[in-house]
Amino acid sequence: MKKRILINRVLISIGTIFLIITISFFLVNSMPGDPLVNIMGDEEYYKVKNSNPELLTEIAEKYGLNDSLPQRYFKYLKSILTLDFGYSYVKNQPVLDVVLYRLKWTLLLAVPATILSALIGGWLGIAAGWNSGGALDRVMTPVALVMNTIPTNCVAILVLAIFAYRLRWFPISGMTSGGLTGWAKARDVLWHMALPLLVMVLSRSCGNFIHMKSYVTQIKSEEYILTAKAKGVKRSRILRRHVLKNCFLPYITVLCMQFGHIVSGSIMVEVVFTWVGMGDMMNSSISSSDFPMMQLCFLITAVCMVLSSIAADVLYVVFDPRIEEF
Amino acid sequence: MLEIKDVNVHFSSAGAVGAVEDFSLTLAPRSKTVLIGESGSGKSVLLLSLLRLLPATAQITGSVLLGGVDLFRLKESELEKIRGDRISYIPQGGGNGLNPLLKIGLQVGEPLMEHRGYPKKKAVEASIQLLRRFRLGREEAWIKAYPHMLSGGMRQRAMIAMGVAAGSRVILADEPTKGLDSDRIQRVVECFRELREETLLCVTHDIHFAQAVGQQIVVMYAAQQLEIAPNGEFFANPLHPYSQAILRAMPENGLECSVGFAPPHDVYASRGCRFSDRCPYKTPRCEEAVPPMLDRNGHKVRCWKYAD
Repeated sequence: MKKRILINRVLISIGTIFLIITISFFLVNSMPGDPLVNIMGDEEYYKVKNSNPELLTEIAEKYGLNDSLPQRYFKYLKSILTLDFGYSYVKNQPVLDVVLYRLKWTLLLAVPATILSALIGGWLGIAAGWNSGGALDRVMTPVALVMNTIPTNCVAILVLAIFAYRLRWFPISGMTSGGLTGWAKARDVLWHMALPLLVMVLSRSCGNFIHMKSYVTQIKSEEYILTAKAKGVKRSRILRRHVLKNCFLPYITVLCMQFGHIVSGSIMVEVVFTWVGMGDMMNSSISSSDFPMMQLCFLITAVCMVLSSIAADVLYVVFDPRIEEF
Repeated sequence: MLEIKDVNVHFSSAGAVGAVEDFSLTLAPRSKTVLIGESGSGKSVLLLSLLRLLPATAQITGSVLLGGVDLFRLKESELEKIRGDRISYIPQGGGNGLNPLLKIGLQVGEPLMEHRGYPKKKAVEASIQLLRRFRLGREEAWIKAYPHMLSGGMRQRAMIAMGVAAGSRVILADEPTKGLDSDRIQRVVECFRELREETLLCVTHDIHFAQAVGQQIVVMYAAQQLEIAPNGEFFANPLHPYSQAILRAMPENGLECSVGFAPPHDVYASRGCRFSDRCPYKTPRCEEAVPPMLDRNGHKVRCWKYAD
């Protein structure tokens, strides 16, 4: 029974990805502005346009910009199936190479941030929810609510101003100092990572804290917790055996959704700290109308979302005995 | 023996209104007592207050003596040792009283782990015998099932098994027949009859169930006890006008609804007898003061009608 649910889910996801590919293609291609302007640069474009219009058609031909929209769409679909995502208009490199390189840096930042904030936010949320009204709850809840309402880029600028600009404990921007190898390089990257990581962990932990706390408070008042108390089960064991398991189910969904945003979620932080990752690249490829680059970015973002929602579903099906069919 | 003396429960959120007022009752060993009353009369609150399981907003006074020890004077850690071991509480089977993510066997055997130091495996094995005692059928399979896979009636019987798991001698049960059809109710009745060694205090709306299970019947109305009587005496000769009205409203007695509905706020505000504005025998005295509990040869009633 459960196997059928999972197969169903995977099929739906493939359909979703196809839809996203289609929508993102038409969205990107209906954006205003001639990509040729960006490929050649403003000045060059108008110069060539006046002196040698045939050259423009030639260049457009090279990038496949002369075909009709449906033709380009089917070409694009075919190329995705063969994992050929085309050439970047701006960087003159295969898009996939650029993206994979950038993805590495984004994941280096986002994976530890997601894991750390899941643990920190979750743990604090459990403690505050279990002893609601206690010191931790009274201090952390307002702090988390405030942090949750401030956009991450504001926090990022503040942190940057204090720790990098004023105190000079950490570098202002960048990912490495360059010219280092082995352990020295690793330490250097960690040093550069510290501030963006701090900002991401801070803001996500606060969100996780609020979620986890509300789950624990809610589960705590369920009738089966009263039953456990009536059986004489010790408080600490009620938390471990009866509360936590029930809280982890909804928390898993929250975490999976965060993994879905792992690429797109760090745009702001990456831009502020000039962390040259996917977010930063997405930002610049939109402003330079780099269609193939944008399409691949959207595709990766979408695949991340779909994969993480599959993951959430699978985990739910595995851990919740009540789910037997949709 | 369980002796409940002058138990009062107030919720700080509800102002001066009491949820339970001056509740006194003696439960002899192996006796079966059923507490009946309308929704909101304080039955369930009383049950939970005995084990001090009410939320922190509840203020409880009075005393509950179990073998001479006052449960209300015990520390929380001492009370934890008594809950589930010497007094058990059985929640409603229709509700969410079982953890949806834990298997039945573990939940039924949990009191053994807590109070007898059983390892998990042994407790789960012991739960087979416990379920068999209440005739769940296919017990080996059900211990591996999750609560949602059981029917309401089976959940109720599993919870009775859970209540007696560690050998608890006093059982408090909250509306064990709620939401069940008459066949299933019959099976729950059989389960309670099975409890020969245990002392039972059970709360219900179900008058037939009360008649089938209870040796002693207690009627509660608007936080107060109105009548306490042995089963035969109560059903043959109810004294309080409210009890009489309840029994007249039974299908076999003609479904006669002689007393109207009373809004609870007005009831609690009255200085006199709480039932007075619905009572067909009302006299001016009834509105002036709450009648005392009168004892007529072991049949107790709170009504001015019997004061002289």
